Amino acid sequence: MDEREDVEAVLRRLMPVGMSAGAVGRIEEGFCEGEVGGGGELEEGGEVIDDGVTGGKKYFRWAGFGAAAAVVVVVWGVGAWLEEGGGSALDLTKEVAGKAAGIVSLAEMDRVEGVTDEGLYVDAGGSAVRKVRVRVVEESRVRDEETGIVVMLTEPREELYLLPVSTF
Amino acid sequence: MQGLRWRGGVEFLRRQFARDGALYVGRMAHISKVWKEWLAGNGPRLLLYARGWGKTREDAEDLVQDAVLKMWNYQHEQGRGGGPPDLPLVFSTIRFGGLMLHRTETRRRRREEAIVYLNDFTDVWLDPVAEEDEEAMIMRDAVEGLSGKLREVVVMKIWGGLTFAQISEALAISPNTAASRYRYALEQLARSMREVKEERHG
Repeated sequence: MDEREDVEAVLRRLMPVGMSAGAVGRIEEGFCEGEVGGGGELEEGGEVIDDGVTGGKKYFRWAGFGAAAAVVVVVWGVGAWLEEGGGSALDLTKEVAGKAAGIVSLAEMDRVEGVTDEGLYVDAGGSAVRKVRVRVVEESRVRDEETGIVVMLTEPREELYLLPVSTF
Repeated sequence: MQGLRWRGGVEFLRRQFARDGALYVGRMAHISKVWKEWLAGNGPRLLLYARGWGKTREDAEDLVQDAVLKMWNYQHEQGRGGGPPDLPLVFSTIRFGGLMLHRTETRRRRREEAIVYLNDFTDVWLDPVAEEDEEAMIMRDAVEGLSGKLREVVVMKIWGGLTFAQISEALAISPNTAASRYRYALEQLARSMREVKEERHG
């Protein structure tokens, strides 16, 4: 028994050699191509807006946003929006001019879902700030050029803003 | 300050996958990430197991690739959730692939007059954790020299982390048989190590 334990101890000083990068890459490519016949469930924020291919089996390849965005235009003014008393959901549209291989970004939008005024706070320096918690949903519309499928991705997030207060 | 007003809320878009293959990229990206992490953690032990079936490292990697992608499709069938599979099933799938490969190779060898396999001395199945660990290197050679039936049990137990019950399930043998093969394998490894040490150090 002791001898078997000794053998096991020596065996545990050995580690299996890893797979080559090429082999791992080929397997991961298989994951990304994701040839799935269906049956999954959307759990949050996703919709196929337009399936541009009719008939037959369609595949959507997701190549990610690896390419650099050339131009980003962001319009944001939480303070001004609050001053105006809110109103309709605030849409922040960013135009992204770059595209990844095979995937075209059609639009990106941050939609404000809700704003909560958490009141006045005094920070460590003695300055008064207003804490505002904003729930935002980022929506992106992308199109796969090969299949024509358009997909909308939604990503909820929460942001906390500290707005300096100078008048009371 | 004016009262805060906002209209509407987020409409979370929920839709089932259409059977025509349209995909929800966000969820699939998450599933791919989970599988990649699973592969990073389990790839080496799967490769080690497959080395017992493939003549070369490349053959073994092909066996692992085939098995993992088969599992990917299998796990995405209705009701299985799409997550990574249990290890015993993957070992079993590699084994089946290896049996098919062996059958193909045997037929090919009968047709060809001679096949020469050159030894690549840098191609090892296992690496010692610490350098200059003489005992571990002796053991490494001894493991490679075990018969297939004994080696696969050792690989699954030591590096696969499987229980004898799981090993018996993967190999379609009884748990007692799995345990017996394991004990016999350890005895053979102990004997091999003793013999090599005696040869080297007298």
